[in-house]
Amino acid sequence: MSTEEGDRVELLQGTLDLLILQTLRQGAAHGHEIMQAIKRRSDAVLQVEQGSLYPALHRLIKRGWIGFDHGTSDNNRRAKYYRLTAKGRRQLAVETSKWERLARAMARVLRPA
Amino acid sequence: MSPRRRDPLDDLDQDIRDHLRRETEENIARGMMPAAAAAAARRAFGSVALTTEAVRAVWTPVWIDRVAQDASYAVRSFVRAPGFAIVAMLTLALGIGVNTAIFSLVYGVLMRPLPFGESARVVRVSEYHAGGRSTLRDAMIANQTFEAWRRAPRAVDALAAYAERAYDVSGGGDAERIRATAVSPALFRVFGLTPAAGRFFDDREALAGADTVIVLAYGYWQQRFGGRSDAVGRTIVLDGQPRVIVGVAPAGFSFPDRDRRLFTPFVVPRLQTDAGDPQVRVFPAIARLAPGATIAQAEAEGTAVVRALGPPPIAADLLFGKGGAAAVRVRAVIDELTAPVRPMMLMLGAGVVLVLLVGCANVANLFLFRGASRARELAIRSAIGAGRARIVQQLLTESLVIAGAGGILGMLVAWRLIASWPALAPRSVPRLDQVQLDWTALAFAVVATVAAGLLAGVAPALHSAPSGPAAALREAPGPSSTRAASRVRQALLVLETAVAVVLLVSSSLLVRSFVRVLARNPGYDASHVLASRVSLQGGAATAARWQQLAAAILDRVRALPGVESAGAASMAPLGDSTFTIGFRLAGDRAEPVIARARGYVVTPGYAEALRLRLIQGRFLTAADAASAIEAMVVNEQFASIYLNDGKPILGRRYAGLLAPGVTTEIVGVFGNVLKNGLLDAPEPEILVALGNHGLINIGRDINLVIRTSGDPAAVAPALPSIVRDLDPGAPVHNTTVLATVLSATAGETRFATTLLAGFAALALGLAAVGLYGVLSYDVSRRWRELGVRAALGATRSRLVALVVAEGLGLSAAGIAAGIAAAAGVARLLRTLVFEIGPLDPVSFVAAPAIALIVALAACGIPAWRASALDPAAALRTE
Repeated sequence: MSTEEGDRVELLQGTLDLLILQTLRQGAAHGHEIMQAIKRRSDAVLQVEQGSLYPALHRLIKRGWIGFDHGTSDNNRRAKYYRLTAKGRRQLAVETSKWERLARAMARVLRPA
Repeated sequence: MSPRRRDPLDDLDQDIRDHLRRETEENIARGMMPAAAAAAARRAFGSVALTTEAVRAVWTPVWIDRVAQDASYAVRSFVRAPGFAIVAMLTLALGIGVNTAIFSLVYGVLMRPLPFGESARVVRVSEYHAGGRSTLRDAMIANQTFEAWRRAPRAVDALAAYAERAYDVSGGGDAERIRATAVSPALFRVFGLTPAAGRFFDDREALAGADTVIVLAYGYWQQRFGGRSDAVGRTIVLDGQPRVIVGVAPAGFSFPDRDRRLFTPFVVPRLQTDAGDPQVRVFPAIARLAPGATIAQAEAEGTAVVRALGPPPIAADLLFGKGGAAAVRVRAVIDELTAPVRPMMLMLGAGVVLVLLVGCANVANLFLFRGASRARELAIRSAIGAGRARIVQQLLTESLVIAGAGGILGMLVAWRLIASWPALAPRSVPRLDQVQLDWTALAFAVVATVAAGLLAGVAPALHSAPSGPAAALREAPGPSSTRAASRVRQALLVLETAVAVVLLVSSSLLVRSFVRVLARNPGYDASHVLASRVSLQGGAATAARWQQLAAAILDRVRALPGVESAGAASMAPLGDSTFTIGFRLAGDRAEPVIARARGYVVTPGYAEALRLRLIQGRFLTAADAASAIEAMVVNEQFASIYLNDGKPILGRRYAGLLAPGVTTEIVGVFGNVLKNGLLDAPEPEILVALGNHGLINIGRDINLVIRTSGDPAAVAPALPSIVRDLDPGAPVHNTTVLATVLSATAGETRFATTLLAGFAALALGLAAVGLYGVLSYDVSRRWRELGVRAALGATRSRLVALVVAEGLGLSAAGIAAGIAAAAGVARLLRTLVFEIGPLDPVSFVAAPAIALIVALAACGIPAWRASALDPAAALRTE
């Protein structure tokens, strides 16, 4: 139970969480759609490990940031749809600004003016 | 959407399957073959099992995870160093096991609800005269009071009287003598019973002449009638009188104690007046409190009833003692049943808890040693980010794991002990059959286990967990950080020693008291005496027949080889019947004294066979039986209570003392007899000769006492044939060696004393092990220091003295604290000790001395190790 390893996991989780929340802002989606959307919107730079998507989804459900419904998909099949909750929407704003601050700071450090 | 809360885990598998199917379809759309597409999808997803696991972990509370992690870590580390774990586990197993066993004993005897009805509402009702000195052995009520109250009870319903009986049964099987109870029909309602077969008594069957019915106890129905339903309606013969079986009581019901074989109707003696005074008869009675009624209300109602009857008749004064106004007492039966053993049970409970406490202190010390030796490991954990709380939690988990293992092992100990309680505990302890290892006992064991784990673990965990990573790494494992832990160890040791001393002093008080009890003079010489009883049957039970049969039996018994002397009486020491008489003793005082005494009708030879002590005058002789003047021998207690006017006792004559028109003369004084055993108190007693007067109730039992030169049991086989020749219908029973019965009367005291002494030994042993452990640890911790001292010229004896001084210092502190605590505890034991003051000097000197000797012994090995120290080697050790 080393701390460094824990911190790294935290970081990745946080990133994936942010990506999921951002994706669901466009509307409810099932797991596969979320994965595809992240891949597509990041020009395939961000490759979500498919297996880690589901624990992340459940973590977000547990925190109350996303909910889920059962619906039918475009080709008329049953599917579990994840959607953003009001709390999740607020959290997305917080996380986004946090991320942007971090990104700006990183940029300043890496490319000093 | 449905508003109900859905479990997000419900459709996890389906969700993942959907995902894989979509991925597969996309792969196919990209032109892959279906099989390859599915394989690629699975590859891209990774392990479904691991994912599922990870999702479930999201929903698992963190603490479960941590506890499981800590517990498995603890188990692994115990397996690596099993010595520590085994000692700690065995210590706690012993403590928890013995505690659970004692708990189930105390719970079963004192607290388990009575098996029938709403037990707390079943009460005993009895009568007393405020301030009067009643010498009735049990709480009883008079017939007038009972009848008057029964007419209009409000605070109680189902008022029931009873009397213990013994019958000779014949018809429908072998002749045998059985214990039974005569009960009011209402008694079955008091307990809310339903018959297992047939019916209970009708109220009309409790009238004289109509009482020719019986209800069988369930066990007896099984035993004698094989549980056949046609037993109801059959006739059996009790004491020569035919009786019809009308029903069977439910399984397990026996009253007032175990092994009552059947029930007969209790006929309340008639209230007919006899020469002006109402005839007073007393008997025990119970009732059920009416719904909503309290004990106080019932007492007020009963007292009002008895006072409405007017001033108590003289006969009632004789029974309840002359005193203030009559009143009624109401007590819950369960409390009353268990009251005699309550102090003993509570003492055992307290004692065994102390043993567990000592065990916990020892295990706590072990954990402290272990914590010290793991200081570096804990420091590293702290350095890599484990908080203090996290490490404390981990250490506590370890002690709980040890306690848990100890608890499981302890169940085996408890199970063995509980199974042997009925054999170990004296039969006089009520409700022993209620003692069992059940859910209540298991719940207790779980609580005890957790408590023991925390007690043993909290102090070590707090002391071993570093307060911060920096401090931990800097200090570990230097002597300064262990100083605090060392103080805790010493404090624990002082506590253990103190507790052990308290137990030692307490058990020493009990042992000394028990020795006193055994050394009491019962007033007769029980060694080499065989006691037996012959019961006259039915109509043959007359005083004349008694006298004739007794004389014939004694003639033959005296002729047996090995018999030195023999006699018979209407009652005998340690027999279960007692006849008490009351009479007016007209002395020189202005007011006639009302005397009460146990009245024995004795044959010649009785006093000799029992070796009663003659103080003055003479015992009764054959001539007294025929004399016109009734000769009477009184005991010392009688003389000191009733004949204490300083005038000579012998030769006093009383006209009409025991019967109208007969003069009684006191011809002798004998030493007090403890009729009911070694814990009995002396009561006034008189002996009269069997004569034509028939003044004192002689009963139907011929109580034989036979003194032998050899083993009294050797004479026993001859008795039945002697009696059968003389009267085939009279059973011989209760043939016992008197000394055995006498020593059994101290059985409860012996039991409690043995157990407490065992606890004390256990506690002392644990404390000694603890002292040994602390000293050994200190010697190894100070190895270098001792080496330096040796190198600088300290002699071996100096090194030994260093170690012993530390050990004795700790012990002395513990012993001093123990003596102070024991002085307080001893006061609580007052009711349990006999003729020993609570501050008995012998106990308070002997117990600490024993503790000191054991402490010295515990110092031995560490001191020897210190003396054998090689300075050069010691200085090289790190």
